Amino acid sequence: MSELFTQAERARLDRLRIHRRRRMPGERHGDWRTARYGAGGLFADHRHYAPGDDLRYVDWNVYGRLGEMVVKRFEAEENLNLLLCVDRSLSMDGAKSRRARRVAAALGYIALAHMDHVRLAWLPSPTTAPVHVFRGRDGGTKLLEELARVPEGGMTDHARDLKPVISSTRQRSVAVLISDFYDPQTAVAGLGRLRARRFDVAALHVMDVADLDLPRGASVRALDRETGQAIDVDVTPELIDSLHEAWRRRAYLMERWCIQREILYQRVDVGLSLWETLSDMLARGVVAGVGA
Amino acid sequence: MSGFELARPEALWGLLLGLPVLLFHLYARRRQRIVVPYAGLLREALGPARPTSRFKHLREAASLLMRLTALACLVLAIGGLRPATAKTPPVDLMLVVDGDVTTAAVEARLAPRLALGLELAAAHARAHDGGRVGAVLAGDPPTLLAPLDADREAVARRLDRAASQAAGRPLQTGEAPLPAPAAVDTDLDAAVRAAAAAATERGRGRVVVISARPVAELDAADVELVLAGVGTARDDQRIADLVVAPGAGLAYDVGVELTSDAKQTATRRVVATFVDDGTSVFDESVEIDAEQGATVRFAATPPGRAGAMLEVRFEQPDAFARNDVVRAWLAPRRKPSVLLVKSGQPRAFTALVLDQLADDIDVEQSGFVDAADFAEAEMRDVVVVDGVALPEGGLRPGAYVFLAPLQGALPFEVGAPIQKPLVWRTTAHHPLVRWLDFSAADIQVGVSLTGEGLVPLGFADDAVVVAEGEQGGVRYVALGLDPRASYLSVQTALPLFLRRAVLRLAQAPVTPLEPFYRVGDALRPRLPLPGGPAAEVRWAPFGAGREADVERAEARVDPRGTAWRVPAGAHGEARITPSGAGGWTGRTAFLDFAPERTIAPVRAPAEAPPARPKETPERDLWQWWLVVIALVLLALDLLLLPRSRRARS
Repeated sequence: MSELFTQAERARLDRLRIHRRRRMPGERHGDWRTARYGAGGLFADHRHYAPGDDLRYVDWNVYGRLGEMVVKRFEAEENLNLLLCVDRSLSMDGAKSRRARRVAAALGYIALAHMDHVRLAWLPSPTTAPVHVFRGRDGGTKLLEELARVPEGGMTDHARDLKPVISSTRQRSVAVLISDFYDPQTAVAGLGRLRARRFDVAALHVMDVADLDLPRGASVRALDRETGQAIDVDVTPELIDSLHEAWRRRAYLMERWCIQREILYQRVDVGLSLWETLSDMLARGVVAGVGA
Repeated sequence: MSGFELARPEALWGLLLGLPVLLFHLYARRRQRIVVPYAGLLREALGPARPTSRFKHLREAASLLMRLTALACLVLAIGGLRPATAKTPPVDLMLVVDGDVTTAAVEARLAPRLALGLELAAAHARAHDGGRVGAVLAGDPPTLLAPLDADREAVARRLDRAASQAAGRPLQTGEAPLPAPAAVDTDLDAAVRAAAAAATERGRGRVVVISARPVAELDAADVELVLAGVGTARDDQRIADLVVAPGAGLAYDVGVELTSDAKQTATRRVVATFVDDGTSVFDESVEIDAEQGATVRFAATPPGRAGAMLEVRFEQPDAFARNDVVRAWLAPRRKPSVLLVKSGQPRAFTALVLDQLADDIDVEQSGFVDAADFAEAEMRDVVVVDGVALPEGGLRPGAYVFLAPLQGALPFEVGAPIQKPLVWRTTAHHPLVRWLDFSAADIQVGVSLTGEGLVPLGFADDAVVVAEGEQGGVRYVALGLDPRASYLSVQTALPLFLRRAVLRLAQAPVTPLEPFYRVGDALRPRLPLPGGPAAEVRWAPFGAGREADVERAEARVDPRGTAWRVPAGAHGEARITPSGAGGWTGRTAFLDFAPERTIAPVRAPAEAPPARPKETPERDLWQWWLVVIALVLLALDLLLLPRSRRARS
C-alpha cells in the first residue's frame, strides 16, 4: 500500500468514501445504514409488541402515555460490499492497465478504510476463483499485491467473465467495472447482467489517446493485440481522422447507454493524474466525501 | 544516322546498380507491422473506404521508374552514347618509330631519317580515329616516347617536339633530350611485339611501324599491323675494310677496301690524312667496280716520334656518312739497335750475321760490349748474348737473343747437356724456325732449355733447344746449341735464325695498342699498360667534338687479364687511360664494319595521313542531355518523396 500511495495521498484518500446511491444489505455490522431493521443506532419506527420481542426494546414512554406495548425498531448499520471488476485483457496492456489498477487500488483503499469488504474480480479471471475478497486494514496490502501480481492476458468478453462473478456474490453491492470497452457488445451485456442483479453499477472507461497513434503516410499491417486479426491499411490523414471520430463516437454511445440505465459512467483519461480522475469521480458521485 | 552506339560499352555494367535501387524500393514498400488494441475500431473507422491509397502506390511506382530511368541515363552518358556515325569501334594505337643506326641517314631537307619518322608518327597520331595513342622509339634501348593517352593531340605535339629535336633544334630549358639514333642494329621486331601487347591491353589494337627496315608479321589476331615506310636515301659508297701492316722501313702499308652500291663503276675520291696536323698521305680518285669494289693501298709513315692518327675517307660523304670514314693509330716505327755482348773479340759468324743486317738495323746506334761491362752499357732494342755469361743481377728488362753455351744470369733455366742428337723436330709454322733444318749441322754440344713461360720451338731428341719467352720484362729468343762445335756457322740456318730473332724482337710493338680494333675484338694490349691494367675506355664518333657524344666504359685492359671486347656500334676514335697512368693515354680506333647493313628502304615512303577532324559538339550534346534528364528525374523523385520519409532520411 505504501508503494502506491504516499502518506499524503493516503490522507487524501482517507477523506473519501465509496458513494452508494441506494441502501443495500451488508454482511456484518458496519458504518452503512441499510434497509433492514436491526441493531443499529438509528431509530426507525415502532410496532406493536408481539410475544417473544425483546423487552429491552419496549418503549416504556409510549406505554406510559398511551398504554400500548410497542417496541422500537432501529435501522441496521452494516458494512458495504465493493465489487471491483478490472479488465486485464491484452488490449489494456500499457498505460491503460496501470491506470486501471491504480484506480482500483484507490477505490479499494477507500472502501477498506471504512471497514467495507472489497471483492476483486479479474476480467478474465486468471484462476478458477472468480472473486478475491479483502477485509480490514490488512486487506489493503493484499489487495495491492494482487493488483500488482496478475499480468495482462486473455481476450475481452465481459458478459462471459462477469457471469461467475455475479454468481459468487450473494449480496448486492456496489460494482465498479474498469475497462477500455474496446468490445462494447460484451461490455454492455456484462453491465446489463450486473444491473439485473441490482448491483449499484459504475463503469469506468479507461481511455488512452495514444492508442490512436499510427505512423502517418505508412503502409502498415495492423495486428489486433488480442485476436491477432490483421488489417492492411495505408495510414492516411483521412483514416486517422476517421479513427478518432469512431473512438469518440464509441465513448459517447457507451456513456449514453449507461445513463439510460442509471449506470454511473466515468471516463478515466490516462493523460490526467489520478487525483484529477478521483476529482471527476467525486463530481460524478462514484466516491463521496466522508462527511457527506 | 542509323542508331546509337556507346564509346565505352563497359559502362553498361553500371546498370547493375539498378538492382540495389530495386531492392531498396521493395524494402521501403514493405508493410510495417504494428500492434493495435482495437482491430474492430479500425475496421469501423475504415468503413466502406479502401484500406490503401491509389495515389501512394502510383507515386511509389513512378518513383521507382524515375530512379531506374535516371540511372540508365547516367550509365548511357558515362558510356558515351552517341549517334552511330562512327564506323569502327575505337582501338588503341601504338606508333613504333625505328631508331636504328640507319635512321641517322640524311634524307631530303638534310633532315635525318629519324626526324622524318617522328613527323610521320605525329601525323598518324592526329589521324587516329578513336582510342588512345602511344609512341615508342625502337632504339637502343627502346624508349617510350609517349604512353597510351586518349589526348591524341598531346601525343602528336610531343612527337613534333621530338622530330624538331632530331632535326637539330637545340634543346630548350627543361626539355628532356631525345635519344639519338642508335649506334647498333636494334631489334625492331621486339619493339613491335611490345607495342602490340600494349595496344591490345583493352581489346583490339593497331600498331603502326614507321621504318625503312623489314618487319616480321605478328601472330596476334587482335592487332592490326600497319607498315609505313620512311626515307628514300641510299648508301652508295662505303669503306668495307681496313688493313694496316708494318711496311718497309718505318712506314706502314695501308690497305682500304671500298665498295659501291651503284649499278655501274663509280669514281670516288679517297683522301687519307693525318688528323692531328692535316698532313695528306693519299688523295686519289678511285674507280669502284659495281660488283667487286676496289682496294686502295698506300704507305704511310707517321710523322714525329709520337705517332699519328690516320684518317681515310671519301671526300664526298653520302647519305650515310658513318661508313665513309675510318681511322687508325700509327705508332712510330724505327730501325732496331743491337748490342752484342761478347767475350774478347766477337765471334766471326756472329759479326758476319750482324753485318748482313746492316740495312735492317740502326748501325749507328749498335755496338759491342764485354760481358763484364754490360751493366754500364746503354740498352739497345735487342741485346745479343753470344755464348757468354752475364753477371748475376745484370739482366735488365729488354729484348735478348741468347746463343749457347748458356751461362750466367738467364731468364730461363739450362737443362741437361745434349750431344750428337739424332732426332730433330721444329714447330714448323712458327716464323722463327719455319724451314730451318739443324739436322745436318753435326751438333756436338748443346743444352736443353726449361723454365716458366718458355715457348718451345725446336727439339733435339725431344729436348727443347730453341725457344722464346718472356720473364720479368725480359723478352728473349734462345738457342741451346753451340755453333762453334758444329757446322752451324757455315750453314744458312744460323744466320737466318739470328736475323729472324733480331727483327722479331725489334719489330715488337712499341705501343700496347693496335692501330684499330673491330667491333667484337678483344682489347688485349700487346704490352703492359704503363699505368697498370685497370683502364677507362672512351670513344666518340669520328669528328665529334662534344663531350656528350663520348661513350665511356670501365674495363680491365690487361695483356693477361680478361679480354674486354669492343661493343657493338662502337665506331670512332678511342682513348684508353689506365687508372695510374700518370698522364699516359693510348689512342686507337674502333671500327664497325657491317657489310650486311644497308640504309636502302625496303618500302616506299608513306604519305602522312590526313588529320582527323575534331569531334562535333553535337555528339557530346547527347551525353549532356542524358545527364540533364537524369538530374530532372531525380529532382522530381525528391519532390514526390513523402514528407515523413524525407524527414526520416
